[in-house]
Amino acid sequence: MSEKSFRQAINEALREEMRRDPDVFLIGEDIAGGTGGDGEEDAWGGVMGVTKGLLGEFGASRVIDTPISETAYIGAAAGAAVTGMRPVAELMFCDFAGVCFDQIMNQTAKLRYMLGGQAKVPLVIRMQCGGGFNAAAQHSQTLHGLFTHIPGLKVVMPSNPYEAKGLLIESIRDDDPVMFMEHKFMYDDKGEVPDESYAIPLGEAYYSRDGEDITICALGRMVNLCNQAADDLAQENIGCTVIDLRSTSPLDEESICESVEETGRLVVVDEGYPRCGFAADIAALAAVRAQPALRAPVKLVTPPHTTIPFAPTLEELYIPSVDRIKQGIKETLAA
Amino acid sequence: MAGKIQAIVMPKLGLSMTEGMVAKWHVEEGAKVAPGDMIAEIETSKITNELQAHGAGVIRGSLAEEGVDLPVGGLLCVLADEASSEGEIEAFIAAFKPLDSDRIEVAEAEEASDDARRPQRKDDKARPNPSGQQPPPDDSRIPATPSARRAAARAGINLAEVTPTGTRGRVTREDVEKAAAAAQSAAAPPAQSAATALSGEAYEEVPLTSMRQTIAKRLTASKQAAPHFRLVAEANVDRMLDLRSDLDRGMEDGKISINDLLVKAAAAALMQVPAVNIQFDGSAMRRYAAAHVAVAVALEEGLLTPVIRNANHKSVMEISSEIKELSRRAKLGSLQLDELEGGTFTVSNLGMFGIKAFDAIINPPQAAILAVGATEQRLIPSAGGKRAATIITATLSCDHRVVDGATGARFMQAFKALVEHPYQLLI
Repeated sequence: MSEKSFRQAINEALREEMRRDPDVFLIGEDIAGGTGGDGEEDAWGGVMGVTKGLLGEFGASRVIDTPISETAYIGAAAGAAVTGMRPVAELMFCDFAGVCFDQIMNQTAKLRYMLGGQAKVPLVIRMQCGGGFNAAAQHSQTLHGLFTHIPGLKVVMPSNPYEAKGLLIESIRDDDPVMFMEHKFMYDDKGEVPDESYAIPLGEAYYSRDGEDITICALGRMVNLCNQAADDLAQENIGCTVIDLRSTSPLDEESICESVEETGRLVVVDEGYPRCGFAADIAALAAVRAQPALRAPVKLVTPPHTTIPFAPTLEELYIPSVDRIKQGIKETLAA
Repeated sequence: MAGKIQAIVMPKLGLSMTEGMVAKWHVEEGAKVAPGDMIAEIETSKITNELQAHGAGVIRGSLAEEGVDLPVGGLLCVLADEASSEGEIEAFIAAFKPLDSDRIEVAEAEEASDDARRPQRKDDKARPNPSGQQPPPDDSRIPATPSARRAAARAGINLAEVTPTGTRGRVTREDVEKAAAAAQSAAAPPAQSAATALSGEAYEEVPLTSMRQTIAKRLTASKQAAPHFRLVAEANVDRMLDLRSDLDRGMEDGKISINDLLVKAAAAALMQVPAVNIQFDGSAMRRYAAAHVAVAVALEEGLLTPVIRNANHKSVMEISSEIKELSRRAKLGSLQLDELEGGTFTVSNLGMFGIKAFDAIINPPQAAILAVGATEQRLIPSAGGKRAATIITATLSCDHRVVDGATGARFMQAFKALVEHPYQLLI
C-alpha cells in the first residue's frame, strides 16, 4: 500500500489488466504521443497524461493513437469488443460523446440485445467529466445522466484513487460496455492505493461517512465535497451517512433505501444537469420505495438547469460547493 | 501425518440433495468413535437420517453448527487420531475443499473467488458496538449492503450465517434483522418468549422445522405461480366396495383399502389421458410414459408425499403393500430422498376424517393433484324410484398453464369410469 495519485491509480489499473489479459488494448487520441510528430513518442500519454509509459511496455499495437475522429475509433473499439477483444477507449472529454453517440447509444449499448445474447461488448470508454477548469460549455459537462438513461450501458464514476483502480479493473473485466467517468479535477488527488490488483464490484455502494441523522447520496468528486460537509457538521453533532454510489448503472437501490429508512432524510448531490438527471432519479427512488420513512422532502443540490458558464465567478456558483451542501443538509434537517 | 486426519462431510442422501443440516450432534469434540457409531442426525428439507462414522478416531475441530444448512460435501467436523496436533488439524481445515463437485458447489466456489477480489478498505470500520458483545469473526468478504454490515456488527451476528436475499446474493439489513430475531428466539426459552406476548396472552413460539419451511415455501410458490382450477366429480363406489371385500377375503394380513384402489384407478386414468401425467418446471413440460403417483401421508409435524413408481404397471396388491410400507417408514422418518421425488401426480385422501370434498394445492413440478373425500350413503333416482348408493367426491386441481379444462375433464371422466367399473383395474 502506498500513496498514489488518481492518475497513477488509473495507469496502474490499465497496466495490470494489460499484463493479465493480452486481449486488453488502448485506443484513443494522443494516448501514446501527442507532441506534434517530430519523432518523439510517448510524450504525453493522453491529454491528462494518464496512459504515460504504457506505450513503452506494450507497444504501438496495444496503445493505438487514432486520427481525430471519435466516430471512427469508438466504432472500431465497439467492433473489436464484439470480436472478443477488451478495448479501453479514451474519449478525452465526455462532451465529445456527441460526435460518436450513434456508436455508443445505438451500437455498443444494443448489440448484445439485438443479437439475442450471442455477442457481448466488453468495451470500456474512459472519459473526463466535470467543471471547475474554466473550460467552458463544451469541455465541462458531467453527462452520466445521459448515459444512464440508455439501457445496456454501465456507468461508473470513482470518487478517489483507491476507488478508481478497483472500479476500472472491474469495468475492464465486465462483459458489458462501461462508461468510465473521471473527474478532471481529481487527477492529482492522492490516496492510499494497494499495489496488488483488486476489483470493486459494480452496483455496490459504499458508505464513506456514517451517521444517523441524514443520508447524502453522491458520485465521483461530489462524494469528497459531501465528506467535507459531513466532517464539518459532525462538529455540530449532526451525523451524516454519505453514500458513494460508485455507479449509476447498475444502481445500488438497496443501500440507498436502507439508509433512508434509517435516517428518514435524504439529500442528493450531483454535478450533472438536474432535469431527468441522477439526483431526480434518486429522489424518485426514495419516493417510490422508501416514502413511508421520509420525514422531510428530499433535497437536491445540483447546478441550475442551464449550460455551464465560462465566467469563473459564475462557474463557481454553478457547481455544488461544500457550503451549498451544508445548507441543503440543514434545511432538510429543519424541515 | 495428514493421512490420519480425515474430513467428515455433509453426506448426499439422495440424487437431488444439494444441502442439509446437522439436526443434532450425538458426539462432542474430543469424543472417540468407532466405525458404525452414530455421530449426528442429518436433516434435509425432506428427511432425517443418521450419520455414522466410517473410521475410528477422535472427533476433532469444531463441530458444524446445528440447524445451519451446509452444501453436500461441506465440512461437518474432522476425524483424526490423538497424535495429530492442533496445528495439523487447523492446517487441514484451512486447506479443506468441499468434496462433491456438483453444480451448486461450483457456483459457490465462484462466489468465493469473487469474494477474494473484494478488498477490505483500510478505513472500513463499523460503528461502535453498543451492546458490548464480542465482535463476530471476520466476515468482511461476505457480500452485504453497508447498512446490513453495520446491523450485523451491532447485533453480534456473523454475515456468513445470514441467508442473503439481496441483489447478486448480497445480505440486506432485513436479512440480518431476521437472523437476529431467529437467534434471539432460539436463545430464549419458550416460557420467556410466551411472556413477551404483546396482548398478555400466553403462547408458545415454535421455530419451523426444515420440513415445515419446505412445505411453506413450496406450496406458497405453487399457489402463486400455478393458476389452479378445480374439477369436481362424484363416483359411485358400490362396485369398488364389493371388489375390495372380494379381494380381502382370505387375506391373512394387509387388507386392501379403497384408497389403494383409487390410486390404482388414478394411475390407469393417467395412462388414458397422458397429458395430465406430466411435470412442469415453468418453462418445459415433461410427459412421462409411466405414472409415478405420489401419496400424501400425514405426519405429526407435517406431511410427506412418497411416490409409488410405475403405479400403472403394479397390481392393486403391490400398490397396497407399497403404500403401507412407505407410510410406515414416513412416520419413522426413514424414507430416502429418492422415494420422495419424481412423482407425476398426487392423490390426497382426507376421507377418513369425514371430509366430504376439498381443494388440494398442486405439488410442483407436478401439474395436478386429486383430492378425495369421504364415502357417503345417498339415495339416488333409479327405475323403481330410489335406491341407496355409496358416493365419493373427488376434486382435481390442475395447473392451467399446462393442463386445460377439457384435458382435466377427460382425466376425471376416465377416473370416474374406472372407479365405477373397478374390475378393469385387475386386468
